[in-house]
Amino acid sequence: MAVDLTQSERAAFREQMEAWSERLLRPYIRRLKAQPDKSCSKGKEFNDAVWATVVLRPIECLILDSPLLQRLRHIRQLGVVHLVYPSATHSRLEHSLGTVHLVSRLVDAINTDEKLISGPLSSLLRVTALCHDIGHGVMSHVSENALLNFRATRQLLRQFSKEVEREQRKVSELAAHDMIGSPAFADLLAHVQRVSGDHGLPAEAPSLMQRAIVGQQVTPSVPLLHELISGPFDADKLDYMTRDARMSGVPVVTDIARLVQKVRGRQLPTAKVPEEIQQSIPAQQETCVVTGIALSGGRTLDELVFGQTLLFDKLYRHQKVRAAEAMVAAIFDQIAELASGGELLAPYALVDAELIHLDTRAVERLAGRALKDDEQGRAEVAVDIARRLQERRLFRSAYAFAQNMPLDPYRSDERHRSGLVALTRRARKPHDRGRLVDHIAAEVRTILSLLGDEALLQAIPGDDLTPYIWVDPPNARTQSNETVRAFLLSDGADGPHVMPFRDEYAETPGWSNAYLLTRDTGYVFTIDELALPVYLATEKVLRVQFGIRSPASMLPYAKQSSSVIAETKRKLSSAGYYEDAPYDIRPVPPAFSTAAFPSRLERVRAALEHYEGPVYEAQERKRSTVMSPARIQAFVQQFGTEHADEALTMLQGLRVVGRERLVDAVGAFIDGRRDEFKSVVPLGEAKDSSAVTTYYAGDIAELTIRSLGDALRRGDGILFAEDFVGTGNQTISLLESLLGVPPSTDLHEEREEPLPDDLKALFKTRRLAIVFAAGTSVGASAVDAAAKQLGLNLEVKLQEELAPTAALVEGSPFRLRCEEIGRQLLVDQHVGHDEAWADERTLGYGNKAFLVVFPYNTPTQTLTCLWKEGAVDGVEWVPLVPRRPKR
Amino acid sequence: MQELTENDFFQGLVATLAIRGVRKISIRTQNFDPVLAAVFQRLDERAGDFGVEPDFDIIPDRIHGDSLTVRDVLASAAADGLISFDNPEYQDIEIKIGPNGGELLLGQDLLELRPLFDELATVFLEAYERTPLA
Repeated sequence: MAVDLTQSERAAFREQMEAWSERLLRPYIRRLKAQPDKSCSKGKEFNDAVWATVVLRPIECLILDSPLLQRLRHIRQLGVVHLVYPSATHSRLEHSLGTVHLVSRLVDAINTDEKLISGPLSSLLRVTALCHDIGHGVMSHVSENALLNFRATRQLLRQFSKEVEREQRKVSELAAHDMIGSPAFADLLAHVQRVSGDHGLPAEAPSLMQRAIVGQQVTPSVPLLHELISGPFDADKLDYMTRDARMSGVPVVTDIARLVQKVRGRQLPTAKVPEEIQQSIPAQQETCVVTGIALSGGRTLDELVFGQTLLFDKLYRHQKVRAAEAMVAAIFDQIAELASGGELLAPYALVDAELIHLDTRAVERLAGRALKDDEQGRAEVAVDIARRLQERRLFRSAYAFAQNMPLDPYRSDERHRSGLVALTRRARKPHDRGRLVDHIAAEVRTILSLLGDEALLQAIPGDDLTPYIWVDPPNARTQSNETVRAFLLSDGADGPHVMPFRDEYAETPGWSNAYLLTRDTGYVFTIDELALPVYLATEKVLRVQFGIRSPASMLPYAKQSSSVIAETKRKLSSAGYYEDAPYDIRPVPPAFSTAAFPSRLERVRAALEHYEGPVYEAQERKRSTVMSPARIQAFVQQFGTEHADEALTMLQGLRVVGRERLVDAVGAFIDGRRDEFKSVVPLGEAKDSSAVTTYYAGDIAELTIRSLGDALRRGDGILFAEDFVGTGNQTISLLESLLGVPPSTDLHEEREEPLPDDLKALFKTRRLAIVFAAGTSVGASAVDAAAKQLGLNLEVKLQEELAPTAALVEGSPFRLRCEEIGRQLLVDQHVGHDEAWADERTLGYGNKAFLVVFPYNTPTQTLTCLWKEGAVDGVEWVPLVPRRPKR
Repeated sequence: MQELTENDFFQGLVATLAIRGVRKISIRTQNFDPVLAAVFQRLDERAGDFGVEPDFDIIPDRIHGDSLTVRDVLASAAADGLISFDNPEYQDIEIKIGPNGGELLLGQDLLELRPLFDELATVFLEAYERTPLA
């Protein structure tokens, strides 16, 4: 019976918890009635590994002895953590006793100067602390989190949130709430009060306990009293932090003794408490007791946050702990729905030892009946995974990912980043995560088949890989949010003051979140024997579906060997596995394995150091192309094993024409003629690169950047500073448009407005010069000839003549491949770019195959495959130095 | 019916605000969290019309006025690089994606919910304008 989101199902769960409490408590209550337990008459003192001695009162001992509490003896506080930290075997019962001890110490601290918390309220807090975890199921939070994979659980928690008007995320709190609200529990409380003679609990104790456990206000006279059970520095937190750290052998910095010593309570006129507290107090109430931390103890709350943060990083989110938890979740996926009464009851039908020694009979006991045929298979999988837990053959990480991966060369790549965001988001949704696992499992099957390793599948019960592959996304909950709700108390000359901690320590959430969230890593877990195929399968699925690239820096986190991966990829490639796959995940060509390869990559990277690439939006500046050896390697890898080495050789000839080259070129030209040329002017419109190059030329002190009109009205010479000349057509077109002459070549571009007649006349008479930092002498000569024909007094200077790359030998297979790539990238029927059009520019405009790049853009004359994005042979082609597209 | 998580909700909202050119938002707890709760309320009312169902709630604490869900999604969005907190007070966030980034984010798997997120962004901006945050 699955619980859905209706109110009636919420009622059904409550009834189930009441029935469960009845079953456990009724025999105990009858036994107490028949034969009162005299051993509890004086209370008990317990030796405790953390707090030395914990004292329970008689009434508390009677509650402790009830099966509802004794059950917690068999539930480990940290679930599966002991499989990683062997000494962390403490139980929920020990923690419950510790919580009683600490809540008493908190009350004592508040009552130091004046008894602000009454005896009944103090008793209530102690009993609540004792019972606060009775809703925990097998392996504590591990099964609780596993239940969140069921839609029914999530929707039930929504109903509960609405009911108590608080965000509720924990099934254990819901269960504890309903158990404490059960008639059986009310009978237990009534009876233990009679037996012990202790009638110190307030009337309506069960409902007040329920309120405290779910964080609802208990009494407006002490409006924050409930927070000693569930709040910023509650007894639960103070015990579990200290106990978990001590029992695991993980040191933490939180000084609990100091924090408790800094806890304060003050009776205040209602008018003097912060507005947020006032809102929870009836209008007629004149005073209230506010609890908090002394202003001088604010740092102890910071320590608390820091301690929690470190524990989450080192203990609760330890990757091996998460791998073991994934196994429990996988077991629950198989058998929880078989549980008699529905999946939400499964955690209460077992204790830890039973789960870890699970067998088919135990599954049948859970179901309360014999299993059907299709259920047998699920039971076998669950039993197999449990056996692996028992033998500590844990799942292991096969693939690791994070939003911020170290040395991630694609960190700035928009598609890669948004792919990671989408992956993380989807992996947090059980349904989407299941589909992702299905895809990975299908790829694993293909890989095993191509490698001839199908025998591995025979070891998997039911021949279904999906229970053995678990995607566990980065999902650390922030640890500061509750603690920053604390109030700070100070005693001034005009009486006590109350101020919110979050106002005084506004930075605390920032640093604690940053610490945890930037370290939390996502994993794909699997069994040891499938780790390599799962890595390769995940790499392909994430690359194809999300555009995510897998940086080599994550291999150690996935515990994978690059050489083993390379060898396996080569085998798979020979078998055709990567035929339609993106180039960058295909096997690395043999040429890349030489000792010289990294230094060759580095030379190219150094040459492109000042390359910035186009940035499409100002606010996305950090997402521009960042050059790195990994990007360069991925680019040349696109040429395949046959041509990758030649492609890298070609890249070593790349020339970046940047600011220094341009200034040198202009400086060389005007050297000795500085009196002749005083103005440097952009040739073209504001949108053209001449605006940038003219700005660069302004580095020469004698030159002043002017508009063409201003410069023409002066008498001295005018200089144009350009980065590159190819055919010269673009420069000629600009000159023609300034003079209003029809274009000699149609470049399909917007033309500049002609100069007014007076300036046109000046343009023809002034001494003009144009300096190209690099280009072809053919292009420079064409500009020279055209200027003469236009009647201009223009001197043309080409500083550095570039030749087409020598790496592209006429007729060579590599050149033919570059042409083919260029053709595939350029042909676009939608915009009328057919094969004939493409043939004129497969190696760059004019087919000159130049290897020139500007820091701000790449000219079309440069080899097309370097700057054009698109698809080649049906697979995405990622250019190394993309051009800003024309708009 | 497809479930919508708190991260779907917040990322869709941030993406839509980015498309509308919103860059900076004050997140002072006492005001921001109730604004987001109001947006969530609309989501809860309209989700069924779009074939989705939230699997979370935003209910600001009755005393402290904050929502742990809101604070968690803010931290997750920062870890995802979608927003950043202004130092040193952490009282403002800057949306780190522009219109293109917003489109990409919605395009991943939230595109069908675009009209819903448009509506939610409008509710957000109207509620936000009415608070002392704006």
